[in-house]
Amino acid sequence: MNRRRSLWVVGVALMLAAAGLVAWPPRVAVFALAQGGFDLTIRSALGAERVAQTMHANYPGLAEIEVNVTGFVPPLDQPVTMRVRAAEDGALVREVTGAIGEFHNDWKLIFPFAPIDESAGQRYVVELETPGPAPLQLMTHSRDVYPAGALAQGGDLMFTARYRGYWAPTLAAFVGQLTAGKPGGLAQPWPYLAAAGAFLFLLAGALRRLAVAARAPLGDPS
Amino acid sequence: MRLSWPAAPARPTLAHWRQAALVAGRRLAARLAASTGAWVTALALAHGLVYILLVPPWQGPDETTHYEYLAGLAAAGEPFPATVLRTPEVRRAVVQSAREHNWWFYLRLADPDGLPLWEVDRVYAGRAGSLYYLGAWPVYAVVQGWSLPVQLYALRLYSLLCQGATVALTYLLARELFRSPASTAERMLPAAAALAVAVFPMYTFVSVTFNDDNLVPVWTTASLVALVRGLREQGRLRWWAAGLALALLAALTKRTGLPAVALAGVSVLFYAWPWSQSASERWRLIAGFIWGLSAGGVVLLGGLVLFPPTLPAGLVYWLRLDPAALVRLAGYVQDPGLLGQLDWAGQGRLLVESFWGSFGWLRATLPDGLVRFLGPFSGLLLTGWLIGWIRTWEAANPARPEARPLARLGLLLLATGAGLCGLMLTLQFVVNPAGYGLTGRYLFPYIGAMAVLTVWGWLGWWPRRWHPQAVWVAVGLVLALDAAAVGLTLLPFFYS
Repeated sequence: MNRRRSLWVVGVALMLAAAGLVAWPPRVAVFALAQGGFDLTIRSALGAERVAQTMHANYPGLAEIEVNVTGFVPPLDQPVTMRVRAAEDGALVREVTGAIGEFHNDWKLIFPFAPIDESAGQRYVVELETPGPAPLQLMTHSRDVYPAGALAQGGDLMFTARYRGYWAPTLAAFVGQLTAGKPGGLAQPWPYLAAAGAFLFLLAGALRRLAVAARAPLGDPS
Repeated sequence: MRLSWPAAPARPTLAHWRQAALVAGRRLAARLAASTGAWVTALALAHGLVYILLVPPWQGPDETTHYEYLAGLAAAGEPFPATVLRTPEVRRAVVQSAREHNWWFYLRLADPDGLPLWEVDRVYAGRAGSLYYLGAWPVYAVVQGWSLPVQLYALRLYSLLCQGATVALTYLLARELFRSPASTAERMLPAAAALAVAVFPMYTFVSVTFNDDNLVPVWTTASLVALVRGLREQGRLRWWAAGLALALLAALTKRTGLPAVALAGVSVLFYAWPWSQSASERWRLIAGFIWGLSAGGVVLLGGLVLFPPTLPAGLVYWLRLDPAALVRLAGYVQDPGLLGQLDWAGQGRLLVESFWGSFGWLRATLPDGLVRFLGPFSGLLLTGWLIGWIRTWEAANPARPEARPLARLGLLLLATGAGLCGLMLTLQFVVNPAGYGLTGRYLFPYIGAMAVLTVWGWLGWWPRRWHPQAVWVAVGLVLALDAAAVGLTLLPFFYS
């Protein structure tokens, strides 16, 4: 009787949790596209000279752009602007402006903005601009290290794009990424689900056996 | 329906065979289901399968090179050729496949677009002795005509079997050591140690990709099982012989298996020493042997530095006794101050990262905060070993009736192995021209021994009455590390 009651309690709790996930879907900040290649090539933004990098967003909720700067940081009160534009028509999607000191953190400038919920599958241009007087020196790679985008001048900016999308579309995008380019049946989601399910089942069994070993009397061989 | 063996007919029909197979399968399944070791082994296989699916092709350490070597070996048509040539066709195919799977992007390098991936065209005889490739040969023969990623996934499954065997042997090793558990924690220890190996993320990552590292832990752990059994059943030569033979197989697979041969030597000395009767005397003997071994190593190394030998090219490659390394060692002997100029902190960090979790050719590393925690945590575990040793030393005192020294002596073997590995890592770092030596995965041949020691050493930090809870905490920590490695590192790195 107690066991049945426990099952009911667990079942109702799970249903309530599921309903909560649907009614108030949380955002997940797991994925981040990182172009970490750097070959000592520096590109500068100053006045009309901007640095613009195209990128492809694989996930919904694009919410932050991080770029790497050299040790020669302009005065911290110097203004800087980061824009996210649609690559197709140049339309402005997000703009972040402020003093460099607001974004500067240990060789990086981090620009957070309101998540772009429809970003999955879209191409964007990340644009950096500062009026001066000092140039903003950005770390880049002179060759094509990021296949899905490029700097206007060639090569690639060293950057990280972070996502903070709702959990369900993020999960759907993840499954798409996981199966993309895989051979044969691995291009379908079920092998991954089956493997994960088998792992969880066997993990539960192994932990149960560990619990049995913990409870058994010492003289009893396992 | 209750199944029973069908009566043997004069002429068995297909139905009889089917019934017999069904009964045998059911019985085997029932036996496996009742075995904790089998459960944990199955868990390791399922966990490894998840990693195989998550890690994109060619992202295992040196996976491209290992595949090329196997293909070259197959093209040579003999198992132990003097040299193995890399064929241009295979190289082009690997480069193309690597490009399709973003190999250069993950490495943060520019796509060479036709530039050669690897500078060396030939591999010397050293690897030709590796039994790992010989084991992979039949798999390769079957899948040779298939697409390259499919071939790689099939070869990864072969590697996965090695991991499963290592987990099963780890369970057996701990069972041998704690055959008559004196506490609940000792009873839980075999399953906990095997589970730790089964879900340890970095070991799983390496062992499910195509790499000749992966067969070594099978031999070394099996060797330790045999040696511990030999220690237990004194007078049975067969266990010692089996332990030594398995250690030799480890050394034939890769040179990281060499410490296993030294372990077998320690075991032999303990086993065969005719005058030692008391346990405490044996302890002193073993400790003396270890010191002697270390001193012998120093003398041998000094001799090599002062009188550089002329050795066959294959042996030089295999032992990495290249003249430049010997000259560098001679420099350190003449001016030990040079050692202080090496980047020990950087090497330490690399070692911690690459042992606990640095995936995809060392580019996808665990979050910085976690690495900062894991460094001191490693020290905590090693100190736990020390506490455990002091307790074991006390228990080995024959004046104490509860002493069970023989069962615990095996732990000394494991610790000796860990010490040898540490020496190996340090030496490699010192002689490496690039300044960086071995990464943590080179400790994985001894992962079974380390897991037993680590869970056991972890208990050393806890009061005895809390030991069962401490085992649960250890298991929880490994599972949390695995979840962090997958959720915070592997998936974001490969699938963003």
